[in-house]
Amino acid sequence: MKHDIPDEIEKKLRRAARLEWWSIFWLLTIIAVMYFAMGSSQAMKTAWIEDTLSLLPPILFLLARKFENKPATDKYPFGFHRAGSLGFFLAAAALTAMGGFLLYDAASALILQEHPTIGNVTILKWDVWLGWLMVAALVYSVIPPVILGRMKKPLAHATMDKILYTDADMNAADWKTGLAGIAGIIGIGLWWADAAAAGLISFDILRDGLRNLRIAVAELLDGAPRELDSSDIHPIVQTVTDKLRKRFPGHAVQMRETGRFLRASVVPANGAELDRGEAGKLTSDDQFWRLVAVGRQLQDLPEPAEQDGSKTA
Amino acid sequence: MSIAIAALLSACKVPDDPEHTTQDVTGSVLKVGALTDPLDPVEADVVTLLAGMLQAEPEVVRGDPHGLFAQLEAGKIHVVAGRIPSDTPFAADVALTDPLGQLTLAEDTEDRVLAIQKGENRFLGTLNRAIREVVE
Repeated sequence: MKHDIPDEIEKKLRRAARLEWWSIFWLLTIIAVMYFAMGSSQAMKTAWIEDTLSLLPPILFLLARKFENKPATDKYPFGFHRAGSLGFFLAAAALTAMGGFLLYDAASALILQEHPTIGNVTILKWDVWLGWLMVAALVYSVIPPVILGRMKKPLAHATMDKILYTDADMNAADWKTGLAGIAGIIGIGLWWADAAAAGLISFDILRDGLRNLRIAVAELLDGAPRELDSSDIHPIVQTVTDKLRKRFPGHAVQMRETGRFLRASVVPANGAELDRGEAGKLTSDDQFWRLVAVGRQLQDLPEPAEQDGSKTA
Repeated sequence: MSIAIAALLSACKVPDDPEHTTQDVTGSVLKVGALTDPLDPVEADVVTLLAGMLQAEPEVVRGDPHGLFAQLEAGKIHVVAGRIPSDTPFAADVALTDPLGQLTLAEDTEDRVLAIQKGENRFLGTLNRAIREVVE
């Protein structure tokens, strides 16, 4: 089931893979720096957990890419295109979890009305407030994601890669949580302002996460192909459906997404379900009810019908 | 972006005391809640030095542990001292300083610390400096 991806797309995918390796490298350095700076600060711990979570999309992207073009096997007769769908679902779940963490943190800070207690240490005879070290670590943690995230978005659009797109969202979330962390440590004036800022940012991240999760669930449930950045149905569905209907009058068209690829089925307009009797001819008596459909893949399509008579839903 | 600007503007007085402990104590009275009578020498030395650093007059308040910690949380007193281990059950509600040495309770040895109100980071910095001078 190997598909020829156009050279141009393949090149972009290879570039995206390189970016993801860089992401993993920078994230590991960020996770190490944050670990040494966090001390007992709760806000820093949250930021650290979020940085660790953001390792997930790059890893999932690389895994999905490794698997998606593997040839079909006896155990996986349809191939592995859906590795992309599964990876996308997990990446979207990670992004949602990240928003949830930050929201919980902001809400508990608002309810407890507490400022973080941060002490000081002596480094080479200098008395240093640990907060400054934390801010330095957070500033460092913000820079690579901003740059990488901006480079990933256009590649994600070009290759219709939803894991990459979620990863770019995650990078955007990374720098927002970094800023929220800095605000929480330094304090931006009124006691509720830091928590409120973190709360607003968490809603922003949660919204991105839930939107991606909705698209991912639609994909796993064989929903119609969605747009990359919204759960609206992709316009390609209308185009392909219209054209196929002209070639198969009296038929309906079903489209779904497997990873970055699309599949269309032409089915009788009056129902595609296999007749029970027919199913019974194919399988043993106690299993026949499980066989609900038989499909046939086409490589050559018939010419469009002269008359456009298929306006049925 | 506005967060970043606000953070930069407020950075000149960071670390700060949200409840203004340093400001209240400086040139005034340092209220110390004492859990033991008298305080151990190392604790008494730190309190005296801290009061000196802030040009304040130390005033010892005695009381039961829950009363003193409640007053500390309410900002009525500034420091609680008296053989407090770093794993004190009050740790969730107050901020603890750097260790002033060790403390043996039953068979466990713990760091001996002082307690202040949570989030008073400027005051904590001053107190930690006083502790370092006494301990070293």
